[in-house]
Amino acid sequence: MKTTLFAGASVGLIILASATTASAQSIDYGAMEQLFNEPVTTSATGSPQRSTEAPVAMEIISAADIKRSGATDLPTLLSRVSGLDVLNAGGAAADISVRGYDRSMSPRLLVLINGRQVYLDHYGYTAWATLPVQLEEIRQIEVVKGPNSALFGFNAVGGVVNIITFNPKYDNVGSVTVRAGMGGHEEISAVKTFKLGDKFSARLSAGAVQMDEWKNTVGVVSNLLTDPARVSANLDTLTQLTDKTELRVEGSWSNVQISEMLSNNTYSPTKYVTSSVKAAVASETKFGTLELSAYRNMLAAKHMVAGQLAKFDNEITVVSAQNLFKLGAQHTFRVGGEYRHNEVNTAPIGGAQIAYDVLAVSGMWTWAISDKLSTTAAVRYDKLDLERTGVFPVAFPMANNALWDRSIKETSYNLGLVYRPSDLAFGRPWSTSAPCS
Amino acid sequence: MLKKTKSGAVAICALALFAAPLAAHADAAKDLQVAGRALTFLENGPTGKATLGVVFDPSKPASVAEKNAVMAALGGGMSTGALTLVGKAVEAGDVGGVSGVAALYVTTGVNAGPVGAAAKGKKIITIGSDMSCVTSGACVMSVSADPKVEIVVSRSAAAAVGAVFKAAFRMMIREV
Repeated sequence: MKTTLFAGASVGLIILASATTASAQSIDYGAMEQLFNEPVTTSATGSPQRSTEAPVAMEIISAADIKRSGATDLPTLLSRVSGLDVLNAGGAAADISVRGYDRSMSPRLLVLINGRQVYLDHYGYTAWATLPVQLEEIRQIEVVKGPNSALFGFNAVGGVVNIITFNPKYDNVGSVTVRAGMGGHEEISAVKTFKLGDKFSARLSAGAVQMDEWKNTVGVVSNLLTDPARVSANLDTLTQLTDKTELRVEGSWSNVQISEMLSNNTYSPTKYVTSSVKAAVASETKFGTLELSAYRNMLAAKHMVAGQLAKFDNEITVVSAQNLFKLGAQHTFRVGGEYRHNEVNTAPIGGAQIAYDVLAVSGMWTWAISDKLSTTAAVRYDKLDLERTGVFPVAFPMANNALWDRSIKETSYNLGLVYRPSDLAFGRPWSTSAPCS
Repeated sequence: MLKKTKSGAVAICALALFAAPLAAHADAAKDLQVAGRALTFLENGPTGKATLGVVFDPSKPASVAEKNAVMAALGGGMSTGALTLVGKAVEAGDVGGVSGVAALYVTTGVNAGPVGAAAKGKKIITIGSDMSCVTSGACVMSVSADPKVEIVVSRSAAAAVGAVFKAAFRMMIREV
């Protein structure tokens, strides 16, 4: 489907490009990790869990792992995770998939930063170079290998990479990094958390990197290549509104140029400008942990497709709410709802807008049957309504906006079973998952 | 020959892996680290320097030995996350009159029923060294660090002393 990139209009593309997120609560990952002597995650079920008890196949890359790795970018880090395939098409261009099927502009792997989607919806892929995060501000990278669409929506059919940054409420970090290397690699970045009084904390980061593009040994037309460069910044604030209620506001921006491989296997000197703003209120109440979040992602992308400039302006707005609670000693539940509005212009043939709205409801139930056995069931229902507004070029076939009026309804579910035959300190629980999306 | 050697090596590795947990033993210092960190997940829990009463039965050598090990591990103050724990030995019969402690650590062998009842009367959290203390409802919490961190909380005992753990913490432990 994606071999005819940007052919006429991007209708087919936008259908692929949908995702939703389940935000992580503001939990103290560091204190939990020290207590349980292992990382904790919310990417498996939406509920905090010890990594060895999560009912999915997952790996967690810790901040210590990142520091020891020597890697200078995310694709290099992820290339060392078993089951992940990384294709490098240039100095900063990479595509990643889970368990095969990797390709240029690879879809299906949902990528999040603190629960906010950074997967690009205008075509349905992740441009890893655009991610506005410095390696030094990452607490852990949670990699779910396999479908988790019942939690995160139908973009997570291949897997999920959830990048968790240091939380300024709990973590005190600060660093300045300067790197230089072969291939003209030059990089500088800074990360700093700070507190103002007892109730306000913030993390500020910024960085710039540039490098030479790989030597052109295969005769690519030179104007399709550009030396990769990126400037990005990120601000993350937490305000304690009451003893049990906090407000987290995040903003990010990145400006990137890159030689990337398009899905028709030609190079493009692509430019991206991304920005985002997100606000989330989380509160511990007697009814559970309530969370309401809203964010907007804005993207301006310029690709060169078959000699034509294709310029996309994509805007996504997501509003979600969830409640996480435990009933009795054995049952944990999550109920959630989400609304998403997504719109993008058609390109390279302009003059129209494609948009869709998604309404989704989801639920999760974990039952700790015994201290050795637990089961998790999650289900999600999405309803997507697509539409097109605008004009058509003269003599364009099917020149009728009504043809775009589609409604897609999809149910996803995940089932997991975790059995721990002993308290052995090694190994991982046996688990299984039967997803449908 | 090579095949035989390989099979032998695999068997030895397997034996070593399964034998490893058998060598594991309770480590007072490790358990106290877990206990101290777990206390920081209490609503309005202790902060800074906190005294841990170590409850023992002087008529039972095992209990006395454990008390001595715990007191030695705590030493002049054990840092456990945001808490610094100091120890105070408390005879089982004196729990009703104890004061100035953030929690009580009940050593194995102590008659947990009366100790738990007395602690509930004084609204003091009890941490059992023995899992049966919490499963019987006498203690609020039981912790063990080896071979894997396990924390068990008695909902009824926690309610009796007014202890409320943070929601995220409750979802990662075992409640009875």
